[in-house]
Amino acid sequence: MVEADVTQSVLDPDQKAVLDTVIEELIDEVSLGLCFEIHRACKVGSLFLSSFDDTASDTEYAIIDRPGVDVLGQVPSKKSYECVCPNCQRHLAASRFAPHLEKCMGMGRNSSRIASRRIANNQKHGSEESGQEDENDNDWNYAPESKRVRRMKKEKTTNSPRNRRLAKLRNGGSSHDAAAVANAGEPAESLEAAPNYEKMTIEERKALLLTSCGVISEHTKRMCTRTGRCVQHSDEQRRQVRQLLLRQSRAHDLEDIHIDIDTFDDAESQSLRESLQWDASSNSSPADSTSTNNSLSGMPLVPSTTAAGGHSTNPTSLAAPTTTTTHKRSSAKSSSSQSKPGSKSKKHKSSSGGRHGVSSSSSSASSSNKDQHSSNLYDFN
Amino acid sequence: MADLQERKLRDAQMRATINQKLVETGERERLKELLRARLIECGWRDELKAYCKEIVQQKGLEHITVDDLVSEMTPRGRSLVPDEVKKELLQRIRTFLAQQSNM
Repeated sequence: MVEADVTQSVLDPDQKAVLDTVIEELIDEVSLGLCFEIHRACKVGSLFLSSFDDTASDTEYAIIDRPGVDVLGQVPSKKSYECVCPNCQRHLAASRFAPHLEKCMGMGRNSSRIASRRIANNQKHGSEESGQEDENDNDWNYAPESKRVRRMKKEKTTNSPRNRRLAKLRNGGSSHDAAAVANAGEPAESLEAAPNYEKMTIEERKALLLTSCGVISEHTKRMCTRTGRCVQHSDEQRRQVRQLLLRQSRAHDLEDIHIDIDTFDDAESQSLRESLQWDASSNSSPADSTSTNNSLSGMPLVPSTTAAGGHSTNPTSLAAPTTTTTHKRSSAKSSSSQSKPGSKSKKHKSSSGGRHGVSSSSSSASSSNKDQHSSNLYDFN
Repeated sequence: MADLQERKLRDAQMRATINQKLVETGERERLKELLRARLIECGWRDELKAYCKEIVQQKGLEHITVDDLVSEMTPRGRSLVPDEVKKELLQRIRTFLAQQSNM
C-alpha cells in the first residue's frame, strides 16, 4: 500500500514539491552543521584568524619603505634619557651624566691622573722620603676634597653658565691647572678666613687648638675643624701649627726686643735655608707659579707675618714674588724657633727671606731640584 | 478546501514514508554527504560562511547565539544552493525511489 503510494508519487510530477521539501530538509541540515561549526569558531575565537592572515596583515603590517620614517611608518624621534645623580640628586641628560659625575664626585679622568701622578712620585722618590711623601699625600688628598665641597656648594647655589664654564675649566685641565684656578677663586675665602685666626687672642687660640686639629690647609687657608685625632693631618703638622699660632701671639709681646743680627749662628741658618728652599720648591708646583695666588692670596698674609716676625727686616720677602704661601714659611720658621725660641727666629726669617725669593723665582718645580732639596731636608731633620 | 487539506495530509504522509525509507536504507546519509561535497565544490559553503561572519560582526562576537545564526542562515542557505545541485539531488532520490518500488 505504502510502496504503491511512493511509486505513484515518484511517477507523479505534481509530487515534485514533496521531494523538494525533502531536499530542503537536507540542505537545512547541512547549513545547520555549518552554523554549529561557525558558532564554535566564534566562541573559541578562531573565526577571524584566517581573515587576519590574508587581508589585515597585508595592509596594516606591510613594511613601509619611505624616506624619513622607519619600517613601521613612524617618524623616528630622539628620546632623551634622564639620569639622576646619586650624589646631588639632580636630573641630567644621559650624555651629560659622565661629565657631571666627574665634577660632582671628583671621579673620572682628573682623579685618575692624580692617582697616576702619585704613583709616579712614589716610585721616583722611593721610600727614603717618608716625610715628604706624607706631606704630598696630604696635599693631594686634602685639596681635591675641599675643592669638591666648594664645587658642590656652588652647583647648588648658582647655576649660571659662567660658573659652569669655570667648573669645566677646572675639570678639563690637568690637576695643576685645576689647582691654579681653584686658587684664583680662593682669595675671598682666604681673606676672610686668614684674619680669623690671626685676630684671635691667645686664649681663644688655645681653646680652639685644644678642641680641634687646627692644621691650616695650604690651599684653602683654613684650619682643619676636625678633632685632634683627625687622620688627615699628622701630629707633626698639628704641633707646628700650634707652635706657629702661639708663637705669633707671643711674638707680639717680644716685638720691641732688638735682635743682634751679627750674633746669629751660621750653621743653623744654613740648614734652615736649605729647608726653606725645599719648602719653596716642593710647594711651587706650576699651579703655584702661575702668579695668581701670589698677588691675591699670598699678599694679604704677608703683613701679618712681618708683624709677628718683628720689625721690618725683610723687604725681600715682600718684594720678591713669593711662591710659597705664608703659612708654609711661618711653619718653617716655627720649626726653627722650636730649637731656638724668641730672638733668633727673626734673624732666620730675614736671612732666609732673600734666599727664598731667589730660589722660588728660579724654581718652577723642577723635580731634580726637588729631589736635592728634599734630601737636604732629610739630612737636616 | 477539503481537497486541499486532504492533499496536505497525503503529502505529509508521503514525506514521512520517503524519509523513513531513506533513513532505513542509509541513503539519507549518503545523500547528505553528496550534497555537502557538491555545496563545497560550488562555493556555497564559503559564501555562506562569509555571510555568517558579517552577521557575527554585526551582532558582536560575544553576543552571538546558535539560534541567531540558524534563523539568519537557513533561508539564505536555501536560496544560495545552485539549481544543478538540487536537480542532481532530486534525480538521485527519484532513482532511489524507483529502485525501492521495483524491489
